[in-house]
Amino acid sequence: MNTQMIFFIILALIAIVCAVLIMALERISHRVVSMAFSFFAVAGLYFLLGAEFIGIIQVMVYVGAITILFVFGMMMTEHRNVGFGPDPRKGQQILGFLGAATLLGVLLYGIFSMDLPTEQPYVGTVEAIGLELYGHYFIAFLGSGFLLTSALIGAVVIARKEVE
Amino acid sequence: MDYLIMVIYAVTVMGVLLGGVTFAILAERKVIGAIQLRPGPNRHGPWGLFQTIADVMKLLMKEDVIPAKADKPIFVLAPVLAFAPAFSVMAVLVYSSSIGGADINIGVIYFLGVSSITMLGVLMGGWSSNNKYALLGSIRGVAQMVSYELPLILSIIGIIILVGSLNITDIVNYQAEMGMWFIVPQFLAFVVYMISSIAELNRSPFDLPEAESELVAGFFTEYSGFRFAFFMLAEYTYAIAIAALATTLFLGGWLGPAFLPGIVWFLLKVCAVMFIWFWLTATLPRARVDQLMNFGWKVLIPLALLNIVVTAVIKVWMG
Repeated sequence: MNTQMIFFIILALIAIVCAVLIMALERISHRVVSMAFSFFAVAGLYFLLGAEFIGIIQVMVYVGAITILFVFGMMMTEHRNVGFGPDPRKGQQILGFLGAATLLGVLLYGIFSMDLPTEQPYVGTVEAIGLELYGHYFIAFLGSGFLLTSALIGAVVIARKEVE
Repeated sequence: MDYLIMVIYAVTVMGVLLGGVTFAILAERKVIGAIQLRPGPNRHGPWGLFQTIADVMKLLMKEDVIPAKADKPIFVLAPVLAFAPAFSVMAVLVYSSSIGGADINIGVIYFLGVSSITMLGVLMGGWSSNNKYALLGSIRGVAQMVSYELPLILSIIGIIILVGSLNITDIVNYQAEMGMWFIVPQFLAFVVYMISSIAELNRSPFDLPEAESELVAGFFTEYSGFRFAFFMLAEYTYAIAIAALATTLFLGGWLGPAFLPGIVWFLLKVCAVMFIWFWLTATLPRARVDQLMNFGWKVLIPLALLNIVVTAVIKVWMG
């Protein structure tokens, strides 16, 4: 077992345990923190795979931005008296289990039928990503930019109406 | 063996950093004292050199108070969450042509991405204390850090356009080839970087998150003893890291006349940048919240964008 494997197991364990804790913990603030750690472990996995840029974007967007967004959502809403006790109906439990099992099956099928390159440790560069993004996928990139801008403007318009 | 060297490097940086933070705090108090025509701390040791050590000893020996209504695990975790990213950004800093951390090809983005997690520590600390001043301080702090992170990052993009690389060693080597530091061709970016880094660090005149005249102490109101010391350590570690990044990007890193080794030049430049911050702390009154936000969004971000456009045009024009 080489060092990379050890690091992989540690990071994977952190990611999975924290993902389970998001479901299992009682208070929403604890859930948000365990979510941040789960995201962070996933970023570590990207680093381990040599995808440094994706890894750091994961840290920037998910740990830095999405978690902050969740914390703000938590602070702005009533949360102290709201518990997340174990109270789903029988039917919901069965449906949830079926859904999760199907998803797991599909994912496992996809992963095992995938043709993964085993040799050559490849380190992704920002240049390559930039050339792809602004070359081949330029229209899609611009389109998503427009979409996000319109979402931002829409949010501002809705928020302003509520103030008035 | 590689991993052993990494661990030794990290521990060494940690040790040097603790010493650096100790004397940075002393230097701040001495500089502010000198500007306000008073001697500053001078009771402990010659010239007050052991003042911070005495302060830290006092903080470590204090009772560790956790408020009864606080959210305990988060309350305990918050100082660590504030300090860990501030220390982990040190992993990519390069101190001289031979001494440095990880040589990854996205050094600058790593620095900016990891440093954005400090916000989480501030927010968690303020929220979990269950105190209105702490909550207000942390909301202010995060609003300010989110707003000023944008000009901070945008001001660096000009340099990245010129160099064509995100690697910290490449950036310094480019300055050596060009024969001048980036502070000259990127002066506007330097000004934007310095101002937004003050806000990012919650230092005076933008220290609204811990404005003692209105919020007691801001997000760490409820913290005492060594957890408080940890927050201070995180703040100064982050300050040193940001000063080191400014040195690398704008002041030519370890470049300098050959009579001193590179690392000495590097540390001298870091001290110079820190001195500018201390100087501003002693001179300027605190800004208001609305002034701060207006200034960030309506002045600094447009200036940083203008710098990017001009730099890109010049880069294409010069070929």
